[in-house]
Parts: sequence; structure tokens; C-alpha cells
Amino acid sequence: MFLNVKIKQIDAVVRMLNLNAAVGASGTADEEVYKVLILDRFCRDIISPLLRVSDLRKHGITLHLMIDQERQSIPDAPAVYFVQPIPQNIQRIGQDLARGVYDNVHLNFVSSLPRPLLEELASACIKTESLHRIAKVYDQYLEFVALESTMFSLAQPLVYLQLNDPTAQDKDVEAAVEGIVSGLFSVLATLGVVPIIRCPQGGPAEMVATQLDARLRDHLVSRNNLFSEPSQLASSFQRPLLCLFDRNFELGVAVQHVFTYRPLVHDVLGLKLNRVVVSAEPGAAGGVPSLGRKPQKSFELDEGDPFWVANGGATFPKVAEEVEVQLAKYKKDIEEVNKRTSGQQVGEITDEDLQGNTKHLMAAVGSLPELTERKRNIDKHTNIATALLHEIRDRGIDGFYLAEEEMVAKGTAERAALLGAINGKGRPEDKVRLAIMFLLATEQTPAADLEAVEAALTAQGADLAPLHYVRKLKSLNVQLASAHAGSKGNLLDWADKLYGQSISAVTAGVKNLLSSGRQLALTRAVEGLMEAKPGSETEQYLFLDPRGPKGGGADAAVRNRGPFKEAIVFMVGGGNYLEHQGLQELASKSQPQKNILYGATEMLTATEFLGQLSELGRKMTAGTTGAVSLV
Amino acid sequence: MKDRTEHFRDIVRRLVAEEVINEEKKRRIYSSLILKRAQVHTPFITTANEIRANIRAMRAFILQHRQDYLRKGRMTERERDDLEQEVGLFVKTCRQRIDVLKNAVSGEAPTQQTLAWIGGEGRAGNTNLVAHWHGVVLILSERLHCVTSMFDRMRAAHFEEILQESKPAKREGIPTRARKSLPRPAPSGPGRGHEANGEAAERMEEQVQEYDETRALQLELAGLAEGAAAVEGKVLEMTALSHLFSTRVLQQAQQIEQLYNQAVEATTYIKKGNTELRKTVDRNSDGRIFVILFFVIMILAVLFLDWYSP
Repeated sequence: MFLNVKIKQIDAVVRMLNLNAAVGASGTADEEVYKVLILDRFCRDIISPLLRVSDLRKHGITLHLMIDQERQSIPDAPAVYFVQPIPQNIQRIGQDLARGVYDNVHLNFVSSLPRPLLEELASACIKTESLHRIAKVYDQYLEFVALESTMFSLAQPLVYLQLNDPTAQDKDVEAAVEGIVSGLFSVLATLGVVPIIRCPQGGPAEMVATQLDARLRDHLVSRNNLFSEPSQLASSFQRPLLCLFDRNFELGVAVQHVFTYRPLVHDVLGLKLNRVVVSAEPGAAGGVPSLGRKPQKSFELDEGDPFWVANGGATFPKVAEEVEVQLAKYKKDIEEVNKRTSGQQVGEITDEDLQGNTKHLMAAVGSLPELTERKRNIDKHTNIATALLHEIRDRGIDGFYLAEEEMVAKGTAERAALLGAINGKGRPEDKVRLAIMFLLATEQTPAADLEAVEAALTAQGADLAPLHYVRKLKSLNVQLASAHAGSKGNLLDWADKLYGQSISAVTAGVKNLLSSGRQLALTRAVEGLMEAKPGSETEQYLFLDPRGPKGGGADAAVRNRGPFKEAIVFMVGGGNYLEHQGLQELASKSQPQKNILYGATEMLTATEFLGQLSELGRKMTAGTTGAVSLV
Repeated sequence: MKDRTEHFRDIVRRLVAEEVINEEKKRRIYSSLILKRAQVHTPFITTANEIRANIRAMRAFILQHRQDYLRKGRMTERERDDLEQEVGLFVKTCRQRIDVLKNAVSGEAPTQQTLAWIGGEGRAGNTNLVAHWHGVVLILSERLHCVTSMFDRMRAAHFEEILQESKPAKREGIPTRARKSLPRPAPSGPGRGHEANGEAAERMEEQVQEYDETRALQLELAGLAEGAAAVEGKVLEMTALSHLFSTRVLQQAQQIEQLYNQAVEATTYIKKGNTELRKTVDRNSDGRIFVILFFVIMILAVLFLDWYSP
């Protein structure tokens, strides 16, 4: 039985919707009442990929409302609150209680409610004498968004920026790390497992790992904890591995252009919470000329869609072919049905024929819903593919993809070809991405080439800040590599910080990009960790076992207990679908089959990531000029 | 998941103990911590709960009889018909009650009486509450639909079985009858050929004649039986088909209703568009008048100036 993060979360949410009562075999609790669900924005994002409105209704939810919207009183109905434990929400709840908006309330907090807030709530209740309205208070530990059965996101935006910001205070960095630890703790509590933690040394990943370890230890001390009996039994059998990585470990993947279906939909069309919004193609609408705005279509893409599951990892041209094949098959089936039901030759109608006819008719009627379902699915993917094609043609994504692939494979690039690509079609951001890939792929970037590239980019009106940031990272890295520890003191303050967090990781990333060609560095590292063979490059990674004795994790016998069957890979600072796909391929091709869950602080498109990089670049230049002026 | 209710109550107790408030209030708070308030439901919710209980009872009833219904020989056709009728009645009453609720909620201008009944007195304009009621009605109808579709599936399975049964029975029927009727004349020939007696021959002739008659009768009856079986099969098919068609027609009716609603919506839009157009036309003519006026005034002004200062 593999870990399935989505099903586990659905179970937890359903139990919450049934007022935390045990759920019967039929999927609904016996004593159901008509309830109102109150959500905040974060929790709505959690629920929306899991359950639809009709599913909510199945569990007795008549209405779902946002906590910060104007709500009117509904007497006679219990309300289920599912919110983040933050002061604003507590205040809103206090106001609702005072007004007596609902008959009684069941409070569910997405993560652990801190004591001061609990006290605030209590004193508000005492003041307004509304204690009788509070039925239950729960901590749900559900602070993550399960997008698929093997993928989750903590939905914490801009983490990369917060962790790598040269102007950030220690306090801010700690807060960001604390948020990640809390989210990961939620994931583990929902899965009911205590994993063995591995991570590369240095950088945010280590900070998260050590804090998570401490937190799990603290929690496991208490007798009545979240990791209850059955999971302990399972854990003695085989515990999963939790691999933590930092985004700097492999920077290239986040900016690279992609050409497989699922990453492409995410990167180009902005797949969000398993939904993608596509503007309908202008030609097909025909009658109505667009009145200012294009008609928008929203599609849902999740594991209920067989085509999406089957072709998520295929390259785009193949997907287009596949759509065509499916369409042809569908047409054939329809023809078959038509022929069987209507094509009766004129002449003698025997008994057998009649009976056969009835049978055919019934079969046809029975198969119609399935056929229409298939038709809808095909339509959906045709729409998406058309939109993708438009974007690809407009931006010349295929060209960028090929150029980047070649660069990564060869480790160098033709200057003329690069400049040609930059001066060619495409958006400025695409060109910046190409330039960053160029920077990361070549070990010793000739300064002349770089200047030429920068000049070309400036001429194209691109924002150079991200490029500057990456260049700085790399140049620092080269300096440090030559001068090693001695030069550390000479560097500016912020550079020191940067070094500590990311420089070494970037070297690794560059090297990995160079050596491996196709397979991502992350995938190889995870493979190494799961095999746990001695002597591999991952042996230097930090090893933490929350169940083991304190401080004594370095025991080689415990260390090499692998190979592991299950792993949870977590990317601090934003992940993407390309990595998820790589990990799933690894999981399915290995023998015996493995299960790898993939998570990240948020699912980032390259554009969003570029935004963060550019912000960092700007802050960095501001820092430099400040430092220089001080000198 | 972790229950923090007790923790919360402890904090309340501590806070109450610390705070300086009068004894009366303290007592009230403590009692509210311990006692559970009895819930008072409005008639609307009470009715809804009743309907829900009914639906659940029906579901249990169907599940209980499901095995008997589906297995051959456990139930006579008559009992099956009774069961179907009973379920049909049940569904009808449930539907009626749900409709009553629905009308009470969605009536254009609810009377004072219905408002009092559903507990919405003095809360006109409370959209959240209305939405909540709609949700309740929707949940109930969905439940009912779920149960009826379950029963429909059961019935369809039963029909399928009967159809399957009727086919092989017919195929078997023909050869057995043939076997029965054919071997009879065989012993009649050689068996009685040895007796050369005239009387015996006469008797034999009679016998043969009789036998022929029976045989003819037999054949006729067999033909009739076959025809009856065929008719029965056809009737069964027809019922199955009509059942199928009725469900399709129901779906179509729903679609038509939807179309109608959309058409109504479209008309309102067209109306709105018309008024907008009219407004535009008005504005246009206003503008024209203004322009003409302006020119006239200007011409007059020029004439005036020309006249004033030669």
C-alpha cells in the first residue's frame, strides 16, 4: 500500500465536514445535518482540487462562504469553520459568535492554533457570553494542497525570494523556514509517517531539515501523538525517506523551457490548482466578434482525466497526434452505433433481426453517456492543444527548447546562434531564460560573449536583473572555488550570506547539468538516496532520524538500511511539473516499483520564478551600490 | 487531527477564575461549559429531517429486498410488482414533500404564513439564508434521485435477466417438441403389420386416424404455445424499451426545461438591449439637435456681428 497524499487528505477533509465524526462505510456519516462551511482563501485552495460542490453537498454542506465576506445570519444551522490560525480570522470568528450568526460552530484550524490566539478567542467568548455556541475546536494539520496523489504544494508564495534576499533580516528567514516546517509537519501528520530525513549540507534545506527533526522529536515525546498506532506498525516495516532540496540545488530546471505536455500546460497556460483557463480561439467563435475581452474557458485537469494521465509526459507533437487518434476512434465508434441502430435493410424482418435490433438499440443507448463523456474530453484537450500551439508559435518555444537542450548537452553554445535566437521572435522573458541557461550551462563563460548577449537583450527591452543575479552567484562561486576559504573574509556582508546558502549548491547544479544531459540532477540525487549504497555522491548528505537517539544519527548501519521503497521529495523554494515528471519516471522504471511523492513550497512557472529572480537582482544591485557608497 | 476542545475549555475556566466578574455571570459561563443546549429546530429543518429519515428508510427497505428481487424464484412476479408499486408510491410522496419545501423557499413573494413556517420571519432579503434553504432542498432531491436511480438499475438488471431467459427457452422448446411428435409413428408401422386380422386392421385404422388427429392438435397447440412465447418475449422487450424511452424522455424534458429557461433569459437580455438601443437613439437625436442649434446660433451670431459693425 503506497502513500497517497490526495486520498489521505480527502479522508481528513471529509471527516472534518462530518463534524469530525467517524465516517460510515457509505462515505457519509449517519447523523448528518445541514451545515454551512466557512473558509478563508488558503483553505479554499486546499479544498478546491479535492472536492467539488456536489461532493460537498453529499456531506451535508448547503453553502460555502468566505470568512471575510459579508455574511448574513443563518439560524438553525451549524457552521464548520476551516481557516488558518491567524489573528484576523480569530477576530472574525469572535464577531460572528457575538452576533450569533450561526447556531453553533465547529472550529477547524488548518495548522496548530497557538496558545495566545486560543486565549484571545476564549476571552472574546467570555465577554460576549457566546461559549455555548462553540461546539468543538480542532487542529487539523492540513496545511498543504494535494494536487495529485503523488504531488503536493504548501502554497507558500515567494519563498525563494525570502530565503535568498540579501537584505532580509534573520527574523524573516526564520519565519519562512518556520512556515515550511509547519507545512511539512502537516503533510507527515496527514500521511501518518515519521520519515528518515536526508538533505544536502548547508543552505535552507538543512535549516528546514533540522527544525523539522526537532519538531518531530518534540512531538513524539508525548504519549498521545498524531502518529498513531497503525502507522507505527507500518513504520517498523519500512519507513519512507524524506529528501529535502533547495531550489539553488538545480536552478536551471526552474527557468528551462519545456516541451512535454503537462509541464507545458503549467508553464505556458498557467495551470493552477489543477485548473487551466484558456481563451477560446478567435476563429472558432465565428458569429460574435469579441467585445473587448476574449471568451474564457476553464478546464479541469486532474487524475480523473485518462488522457491527461496517459499523455502528461509525452512531448507536444505526440500529444497532438494522440488527440487526433482519439478523435478518429471516437468517430468510428459513433459510426458503428449509427450503423447498427438505423441501418436496417428494407425487406423481410425476421424475429431474430428484431431481437438483435432491440439489443443494439439498448447497447447504443447505454454507450451514449460514455461516448459523450469521451467527446467532451477530446474537445477539452483539443482546445488546450490549440491554445498551446498558438503560444508556441507566437513565442517560438520550440526553438528555445532545442537551443537550451543543445547547450546543456554540449556545455557550450555558438555565439552567433545564441545572438540569433535572442534577436529572433519570442518574448523578452523567454530570451532572458535562454541567457540564464547559457550562463548555467557553460562552465567558463567568456566575458565577451556575455557582454554581447547582454547588449542584445537590452536592445530587445528585456529585464536584465535576473541575469545579473545569476551571474553574480556564478562569479562569486568561481572566485570562491579558486581562493577557497581565505577569500571569504574579503567579501561583502551579503555575499557571505549568499555563499552560505547557495553558492556551493549552484556549483553542484551546474556540474549536474553538464554531466547528465537528460536526467535531472534532482532525479539522480533521489535515486542515489533511495538506493543508499555506500560510496555514492549522496553519502555526504545530512542524515536525521526523528525516532532515533538524539544526536546519534551517523551510525553507518542505520544509514545504509536502504534501499527505500517510498520517498517524499521536497523542494524548498518552488518546484515545477518537470521535476515531478522526472521523479515519476524514476519511480515507475525502477524494480521493484517505488513510490515517490513530490512536494514544493509552491508550484512555480518559469515566469513567476523569473519575477523572483529579478526582484533579487534588483535588491542585490541596490545592496552593492549601498556598500560601495559606504566604502 | 487533534481535538483542542478540552484545552479551550480549560483556558476559559482559568480566565473566568482570574477575571473579576459577578457570580451570576460566572455561573452562567460554567453551566454553558458543562451543559449541552437543547437544539430547537425550525419547522423547515424538522420537515427536512423527516424527509431525510424517510428516504433513508426507503433505501434500507430496497436494500433489504434487493437480494430477493434479483434472485430467481425467491419472489413471484406479483410480489415484485407490489414492491415496485410500493417504492413508486414512496418516491412520489417524498417528491411531493420536497416540492412543498421548494415552493416555500423559492416562491416569488412568500406569504407571511410560509415565512413563519420556514422560520424566516422578519428576515426578508437574507440571501444567505435563502441559499441555505435551497441547498437543503437540493441535498434532499439529490438523495432521492440517488435512491431512485439505484432502484432503476435494479429493475433494469431484472429485465435483462428475463430477456436472457426467454431466448434460450425458445431455442430449447422447438427440438423437444419435435422429438416428442416424431417418434410416435415409428412403432405403429411394423408393430402391427403382423396381425392380418380384418377387425384388427379396422381398429388399427381407427387408431391411426385418432392418432393423426391428436398429432394435428398437438402441432397446432405447439404452434400456439410458440406464438405465445414469442408474444411474451416481445412484450417484455417492449416494456424494457418503453422503460428506457421513458427515462430518455424524462431527460429530454429536463433539457427542454433548461432550454426554456435559457430562452427566457435570452428574452430579458434582448429587452435590456432594446432599451439600451432606444436610449442610444435618443441620445443621438439629442446630439443632432444640439449641433443644428449650435450652427443656427453661430450663423445668427455672425449675421449679428456683421450687422453690428459694418
